[in-house]
Amino acid sequence: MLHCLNSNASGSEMTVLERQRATIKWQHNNNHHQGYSSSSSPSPSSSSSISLVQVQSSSPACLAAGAWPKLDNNFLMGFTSSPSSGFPLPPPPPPTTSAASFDLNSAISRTSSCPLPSLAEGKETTTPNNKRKTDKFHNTKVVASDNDNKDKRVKVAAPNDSATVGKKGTQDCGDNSNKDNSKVSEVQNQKPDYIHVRARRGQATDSHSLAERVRREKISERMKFLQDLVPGCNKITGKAGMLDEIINYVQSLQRQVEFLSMKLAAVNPRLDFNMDDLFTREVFPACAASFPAIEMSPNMANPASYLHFNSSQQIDAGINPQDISLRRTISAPVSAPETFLDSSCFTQTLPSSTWEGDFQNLYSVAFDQARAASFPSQLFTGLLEPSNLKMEMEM
Amino acid sequence: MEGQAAKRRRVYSIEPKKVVEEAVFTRNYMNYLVPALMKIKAGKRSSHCCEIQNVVKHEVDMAMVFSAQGFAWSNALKANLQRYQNEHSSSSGGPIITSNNPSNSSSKSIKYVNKDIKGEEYEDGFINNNNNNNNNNSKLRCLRRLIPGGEDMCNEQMVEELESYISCLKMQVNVLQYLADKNC
Repeated sequence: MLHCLNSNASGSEMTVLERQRATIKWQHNNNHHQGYSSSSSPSPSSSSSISLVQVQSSSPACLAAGAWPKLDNNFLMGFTSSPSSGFPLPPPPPPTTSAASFDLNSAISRTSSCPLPSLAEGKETTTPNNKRKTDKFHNTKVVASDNDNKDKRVKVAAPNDSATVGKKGTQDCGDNSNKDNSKVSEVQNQKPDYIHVRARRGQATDSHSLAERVRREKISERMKFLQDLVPGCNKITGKAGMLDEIINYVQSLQRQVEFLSMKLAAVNPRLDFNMDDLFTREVFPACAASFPAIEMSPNMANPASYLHFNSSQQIDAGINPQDISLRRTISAPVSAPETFLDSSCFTQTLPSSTWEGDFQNLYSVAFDQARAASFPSQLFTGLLEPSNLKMEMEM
Repeated sequence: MEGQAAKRRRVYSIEPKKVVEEAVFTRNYMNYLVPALMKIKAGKRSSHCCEIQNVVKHEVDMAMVFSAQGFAWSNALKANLQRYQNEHSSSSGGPIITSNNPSNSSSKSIKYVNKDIKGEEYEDGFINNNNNNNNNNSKLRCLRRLIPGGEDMCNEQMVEELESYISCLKMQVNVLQYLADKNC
């Protein structure tokens, strides 16, 4: 059921030739309106993928029955993604004005009120004539999808104002436009009335199954994010394999947490957290694993200096500024000198167990002594400057 | 938490995805956990080791909740912990076995297995063919048990929550590792 937009034209007399001419005119207009369409849809696929057909119900008299199939081919050729192919689709018409320029208006019906959403996951489709579902076109924006891929297309019912053109269409356009296996174009309009979903040939048309499809594809997208999180998931492409990996990973993480908490409980009586104020202030991203690599070399470099660590004055020599910096945030407040020592203690103990035992006692001694002393804050500031840079690099 | 055999309510989040930053998480976590551990150390000198373990585990989970707020799983974890707290305080008797620990996922999962099956099949009835279907279903069920509060989530939400949950778990492991190593 097509709506005769241009009431002037006597649709019933439309010939094929006129229709063809009209399509050429559309191409012209499409080029003219290229800016329009591209502005409305910044996605790269817009030129190829915009396929607005606003088809509304109209009087059947507008269209000769026999002319429809032919029209359909011409009409739908515009869906092809190759922009060079002269996209006969009309650009979104400004309300009722552009319609007059087309002779074919009567045959190809558009709604004047709904402009294009540049949706389409830009693939081509030439809907087989026998599968055309006119009622699905009702008041929706058609999104072309890949003919090969037998995916379903999702059309979003557009609100009647033209302001929302293309705003949301670009959301998913860019992602899938160049894929061979096109995805369903799910466009969420700003004011979604409802989502029209069109079943592909051979697929179930049940609304439930279509909705399930949409959901499933959303889930697959999410799984891709998870691939980055879970180590070792990059090579796995299957959903089942990935799920396995994820499950294993989560289980292992949880077991680790349990084990570590038990360990903490075991050493609880011996907890020594006087440097806890350090952590309450600024704690680095707990790259506990990365710390050994970073700190090992500088610390090993001057173990001897630690032995002389008897007085506070030697702190600047003994404490590796990098150690401090690694535990400090960039703008480490120098108001709490003790915490610097804390950090150094931490950093010493953190990396490895080999020399940890050596220095731990040492530092506990030094720590107490250092606490008593009051350090000039400038000292630490100076120490921190270069190490901040270093820290940033390593971070 | 009562599992729902029927179709789970589908929650579509329209807010932008929330990402937990590592530094922020770590700081919050330490802020919570370290004083708590000190308190444990100071308070319960003569407690049974199991009890200490439970308490420590509890605090560990609370720290997690505290550091990663705003996620469905963290809310669920918090509810679990509070329920555990109530149970714990009510029975002030002997040591509480760790298997009752609500954060132990396997224990609470058993109850919901049967209900899961029904609900799952309804939801995922259209995934691929039957073989894949069952396979994926069981895996999703497994995942659902692993994540706190997973029983109440639909598949889509669960996958979303998984992202934040996994990253928070990773950070938590880092922090705990550091703390444990420091004191061993």
